[in-house]
Amino acid sequence: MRLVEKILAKVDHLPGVPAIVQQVLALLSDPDFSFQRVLELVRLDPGITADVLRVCNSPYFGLRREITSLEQALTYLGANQIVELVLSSKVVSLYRASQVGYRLSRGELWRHSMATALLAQRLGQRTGFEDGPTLFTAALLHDVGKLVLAEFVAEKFAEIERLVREQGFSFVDAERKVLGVDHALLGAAVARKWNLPEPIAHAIAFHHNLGPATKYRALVRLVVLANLMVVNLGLGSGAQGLAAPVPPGLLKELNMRSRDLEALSLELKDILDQAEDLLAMAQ
Amino acid sequence: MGKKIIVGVGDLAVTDNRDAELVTYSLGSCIGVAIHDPVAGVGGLLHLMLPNSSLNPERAKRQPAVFADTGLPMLFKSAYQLGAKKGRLRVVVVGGSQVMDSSGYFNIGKRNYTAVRKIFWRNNVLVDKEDVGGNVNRTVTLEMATGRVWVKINGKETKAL
Repeated sequence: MRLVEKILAKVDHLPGVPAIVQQVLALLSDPDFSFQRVLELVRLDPGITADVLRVCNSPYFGLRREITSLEQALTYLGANQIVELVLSSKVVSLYRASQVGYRLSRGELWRHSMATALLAQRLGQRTGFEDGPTLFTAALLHDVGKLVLAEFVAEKFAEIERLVREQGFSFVDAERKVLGVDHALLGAAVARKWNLPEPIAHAIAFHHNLGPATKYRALVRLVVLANLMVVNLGLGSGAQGLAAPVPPGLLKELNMRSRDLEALSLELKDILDQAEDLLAMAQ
Repeated sequence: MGKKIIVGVGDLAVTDNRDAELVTYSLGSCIGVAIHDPVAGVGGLLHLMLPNSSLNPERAKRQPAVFADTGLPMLFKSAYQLGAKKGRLRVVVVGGSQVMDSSGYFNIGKRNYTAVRKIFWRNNVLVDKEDVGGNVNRTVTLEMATGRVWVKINGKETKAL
């Protein structure tokens, strides 16, 4: 079997995403979406309620009173936020491992992913992006391919690293050159295998390479930028370091300048300072 | 190993505990500045994020260590308060790397480094060692017992500066 076939076969053996994640995402894409139906689903899994309530009461949300029920949480935080927390509380189980190939210890990839999701959420609110939960989920899962690719990266690490160090490759390009597939494309395969909505698979596929993403472009570029900001801060970037490509024209498309990136860095600091409950969920 | 003092992003710490280690993790575009006075046994570590406090003066008041122009004076003053002397300080600068951007907009690392050099030049501070730039992330440790600074790159190699 060729290496790339071996890697793709691994996707089939990855544990499935919890059914409730698919169900909640499906509800969201329904034009008759009602939060009541999300609550009905969530009630079947008492662990979720406990997780959501714990996180709602963390300093990040800055609520003055203690939230003790999902209905209350809905009133104070809104439906989108609750949906995002529900999804996080189920997806986190997949991230409770280390990815030795990427030199990421347990919880680091989650920390990176959650920081990206929270920053993308803020970017989305600021730019008027309407489908918050899709943006949040796409950003949270953008590196899901690393869960599968880590062991293969470990095997071929010397070759990948040589391309990055000596030939100026980005890490993702070096993965593709050496392994035949990179963590972004593989992540999209994982998302499709899990039957996640196509915009999410699309954003995962193109989170390092905005160029071909003509569909769902508004979504993809927010994920691209949020990820770059987090990588720029060195947060959970592991073996990849800062060897991540900035797609040409990204900032122009977003109508942003260097100074805006600095302001975004401050927002990222707020996230690091206040959202520890969310960032440390996988530890 | 002695007490480990962790310095967060946009934060700083100083100590006169000779058994301590000051550590800051994952410097990407941020810059770590380590200072150490071997005679007084005083050391400090700053993890600055951005070049200039004019971006957000309110923030600079609340969290001066975020910016080079407010963080560096605070680092040095805090060390002086513990008995460090300027002439004896060994200064090490680490970080300031970049993501791969051919258009040059994503250059916070470079601008941080320029700001630090400018402030040092203006204040007659000599930098003894530095490990800056590139596309890597760096974790920095200042070992108080020896004043040695260790840099770990991309979670792997560790070298002494």
